[in-house]
Amino acid sequence: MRSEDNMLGEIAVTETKNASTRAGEYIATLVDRETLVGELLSINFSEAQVLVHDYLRQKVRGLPHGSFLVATRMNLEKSRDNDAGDEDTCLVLLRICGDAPLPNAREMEYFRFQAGMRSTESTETWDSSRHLDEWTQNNLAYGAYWCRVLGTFRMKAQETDQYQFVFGGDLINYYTGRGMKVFKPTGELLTKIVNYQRIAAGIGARVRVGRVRFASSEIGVKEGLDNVPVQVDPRDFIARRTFYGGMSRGGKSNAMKIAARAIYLLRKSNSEFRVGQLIFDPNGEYANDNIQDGGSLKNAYQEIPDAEYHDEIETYGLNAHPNDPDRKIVKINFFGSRISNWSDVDALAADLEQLFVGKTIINNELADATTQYVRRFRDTLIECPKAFADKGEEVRFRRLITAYRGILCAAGFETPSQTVSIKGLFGGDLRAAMRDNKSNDPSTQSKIHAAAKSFENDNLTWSDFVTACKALRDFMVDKHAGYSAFETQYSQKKQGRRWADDALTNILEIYAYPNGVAQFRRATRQHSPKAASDYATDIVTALRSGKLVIFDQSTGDPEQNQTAAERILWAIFNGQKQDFVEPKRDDHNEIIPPPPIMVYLEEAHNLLPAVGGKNELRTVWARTAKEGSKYQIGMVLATQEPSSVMPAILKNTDNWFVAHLNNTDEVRTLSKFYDFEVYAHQIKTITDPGFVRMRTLSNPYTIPVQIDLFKANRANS
Amino acid sequence: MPYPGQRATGEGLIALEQSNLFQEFTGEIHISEKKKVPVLQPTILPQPIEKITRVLAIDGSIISETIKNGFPGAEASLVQIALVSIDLNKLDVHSHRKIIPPSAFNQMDKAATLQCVLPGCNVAKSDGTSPKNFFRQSIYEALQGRVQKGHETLLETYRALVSGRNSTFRCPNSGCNRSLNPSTGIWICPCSDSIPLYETDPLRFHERFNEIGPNGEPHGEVMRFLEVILLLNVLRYFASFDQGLDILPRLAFVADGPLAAFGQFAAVVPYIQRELRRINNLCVARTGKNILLFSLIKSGPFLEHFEQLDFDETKGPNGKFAPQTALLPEISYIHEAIVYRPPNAKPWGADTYYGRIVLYKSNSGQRMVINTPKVTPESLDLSNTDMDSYPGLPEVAGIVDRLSTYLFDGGFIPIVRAHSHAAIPLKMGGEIIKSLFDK
Repeated sequence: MRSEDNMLGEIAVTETKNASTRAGEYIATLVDRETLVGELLSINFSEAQVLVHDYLRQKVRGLPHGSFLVATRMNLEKSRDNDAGDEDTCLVLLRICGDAPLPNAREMEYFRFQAGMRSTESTETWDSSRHLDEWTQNNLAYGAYWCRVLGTFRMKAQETDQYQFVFGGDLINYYTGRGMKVFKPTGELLTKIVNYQRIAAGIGARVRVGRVRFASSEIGVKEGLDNVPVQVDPRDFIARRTFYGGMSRGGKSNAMKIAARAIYLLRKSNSEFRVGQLIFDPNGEYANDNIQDGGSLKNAYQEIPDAEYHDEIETYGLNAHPNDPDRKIVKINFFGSRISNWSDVDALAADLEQLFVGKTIINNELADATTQYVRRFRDTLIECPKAFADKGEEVRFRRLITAYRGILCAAGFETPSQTVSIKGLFGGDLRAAMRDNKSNDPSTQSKIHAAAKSFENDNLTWSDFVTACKALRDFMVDKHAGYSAFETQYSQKKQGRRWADDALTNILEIYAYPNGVAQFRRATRQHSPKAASDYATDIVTALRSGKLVIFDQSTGDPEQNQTAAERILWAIFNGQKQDFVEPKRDDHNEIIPPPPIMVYLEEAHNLLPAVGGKNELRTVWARTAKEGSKYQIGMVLATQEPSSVMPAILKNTDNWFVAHLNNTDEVRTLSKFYDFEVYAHQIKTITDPGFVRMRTLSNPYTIPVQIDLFKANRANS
Repeated sequence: MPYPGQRATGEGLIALEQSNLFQEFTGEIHISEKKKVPVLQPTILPQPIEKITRVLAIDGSIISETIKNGFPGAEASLVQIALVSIDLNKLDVHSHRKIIPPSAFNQMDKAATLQCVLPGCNVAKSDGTSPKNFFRQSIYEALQGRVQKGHETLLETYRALVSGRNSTFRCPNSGCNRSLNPSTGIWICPCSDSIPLYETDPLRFHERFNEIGPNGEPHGEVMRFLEVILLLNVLRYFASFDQGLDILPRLAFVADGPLAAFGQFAAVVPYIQRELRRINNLCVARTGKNILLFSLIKSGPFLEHFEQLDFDETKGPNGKFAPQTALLPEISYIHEAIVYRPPNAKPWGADTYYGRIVLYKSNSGQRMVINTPKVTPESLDLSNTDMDSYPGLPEVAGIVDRLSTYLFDGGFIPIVRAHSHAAIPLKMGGEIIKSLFDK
């Protein structure tokens, strides 16, 4: 065998070179020479001027404002001559932002003017051969575009020696003394440009949202050239803020539905990738089948093989819906559930959860109370003890809960039963003291007496119980009635414990005036004696298990809807925050982050605090929008008034979908972000539904997109 | 002479107006009597018969530059002559609804160029050749080039042009003054200095050579001479074989400026006219059609006169003549209205022009002064304005209509393109000249 000193080394060099040449050839073949539009006149790190001719503009079927161009010095005649390692083997990506004056602009303007004058009375346009010769016409046909330099595409060797089409958002170099040919990207190249993302998506992760569209007045979409699908990586939305801006009927909901479905369907390729999504549905179009969508988003589960509705979807609303028998009602039972065992504190806590939540809601209603007796009621903490020290403590707690439930009845809350059990709550000593009361007011004396009689029963109607409780309160506060003497005797018997603790005393104070219970009567709208659990907790649970939850806000009282939405969001926020600050750990002692949750908010301007208003960040909407990312809450905001969204929220928004806005102020607000300024005119003037300017987390530049029309599955019959 | 920056203030104007000289001179000036001048009637041109497929245009360009060789005022000129061929078919293939691609304009013409450097005052050769002799030598060498492989050189064209000329010329050597007969190539004067004589010396360009000042004028004359020789060279090429003669009527030959020769080489006008007639006769004999040769005059009294005529009392300037109107002034009209000549004087242009004047308003409304060659017997009679006196005029008008452009006042694309190819950017040209002499 003949010895070759460097044979293997040469093989390595040659093969590496071959790979580099193949990569160079590949990027060169992406450019279609037929789409040549002109010559690069000048370039610097941020801007470029491109000389074009009408003939080439016409040939490529238009070069609309905001569209892409690529400039290159690659040898397209011999694509194999391009080596990926060469500086020139690249595509400089430009965006048309306007026109640029040519040095002969004034002269050409004069020719145009003269021709115009010649043709003024003619039926022919000034460029007809009768009014203008072909040479002048040819000179007039030259124009220039002013372009933004978006960056550079080139083939870069990865660690595996494979070359990848990569983008850098700048220029490594430019030459003032060298030209470049400029092309309109179409077909595969355009596809690569509009679907380029910084971090490679996993297989099947990207989802089509529409097609690239540069102009409303496009001539027609040519398959393979202009009809280029635009995909997004749904993961861009997770734990991020997403903004949909546009007028009503501008396609915001449509785009949100497409994004929501895309995120939902992530589980199709990876069953572990279940992202819980909560959609506040002000018009009922997500929760209910409708003509516009041909179904509804909630039927998206049908696209997952073997998926069952109950494992995937939950719908909520203030009212039942005839076509949605599984809908859960967004009300709680302020009375709590029926107590199965008063001695078991854990069971008790579960059964009374809704009661505790209800008390919180009532406290919120009374937040602005100024009168002492109401504040005493409000500030009374009702919570389940960790354990009962003795039977007496259990009775006291039971008495407190029963008395509180009576107050709810007095306030107008529908009772869960006809009667209330008071067995063992009001002992014989009390009843005797009440019977023997010495109230100076005969009427009061009589009422207390009657109450004592009532308390002899094991069960009372709720109204009798309320009446009796009111009399009990009178007995307790009337100095002459004899309660003090009873209390003293009771205390002596019970090792210093009083019959009525502060909690009972304070809540009964609400009966001090007839108007007391009326002050939280509004909360009755949130009450349903049939509610088995707290919907907010249920929703959080559903979201954490990756379900798609739709809260239909189209029916019911708007204020009630709002309150319920806030409760839900607080529950989500606090739950996620809890997981963040007190994280669980897996078997390898690694921190488990909170599960990702998406929250969709339509007409966000109605919910988010006004710009410059007080307490901007105190609402749950603002806090979630601003702080949600770190708690893995992705928030999707749709609004027609970007200016009304707090700048702090917009500044931290990662994904943008901007459709038509009819107001200069609104457009100006958006113009501050990324390169939306380039599209300001288009945003203000083009009203086509679904025609948006899109920029997602992984997009290095903005892409004009016509969002597909959302078509939902129909509900299974 | 004023000092640099000193301006005429007009203080002396009153004295000038009141002087006897001024009064007497004014009284002697002949004023054109408009009433006596016959009205020049528009001529309706017949439709062109021949479809012209290609236009060949010739134009020259010259720039002069000071040379730093230690002598004051040393200068040289760079001359470039371009022959441009424009293929009109390239334009016709495009649908009227589509925009013509720029490549059609960029690729429709092909050009060949000839260059020469002409030394001026104080530019001598290192072998001791004086600037004037260096200039003579440069003219001779400028004719060595050829535009078509296998075809004659410009010198051979010149030789053919002046063949039979028997007028003598003076030896260029200032101390000699011998009267010499023309010869071919290079030969030595029998005088004591034994300077080489060149075949081009009988043109006597050297007699205008200024040894102490600028030579723009003789250099310009050489350039115009080269333009004419190149035109004849090209025509002779097509006339040299049957197939060439067959296509000759479909080719239009265009020159910039009048079909005329002024200054030193005006003496060759009869020979140019003779040669053009010879070629035309060959063409007519072979095809039955005249050659199509014309030139455009971009300025001067004819254009000025045409502008004056094209005035309508109500429509104003440009209002009198409709587009595609031709005016054919005969010689007496020219004398009476355009270039004054007293009665019985030699007809204007008789010795210098080998073309006839046509005033033509193109379909784009641009006024053009066209020269058509005196190649037919009728064209020699300057009072005859029949169509035969202007061979190919309908075709010429058609081409002018087709190739006029608004880009320049009176612009005509073949000339524009020829000039583009011939033009030497001032700074770049200067650098080239300097670099030549630096070497």
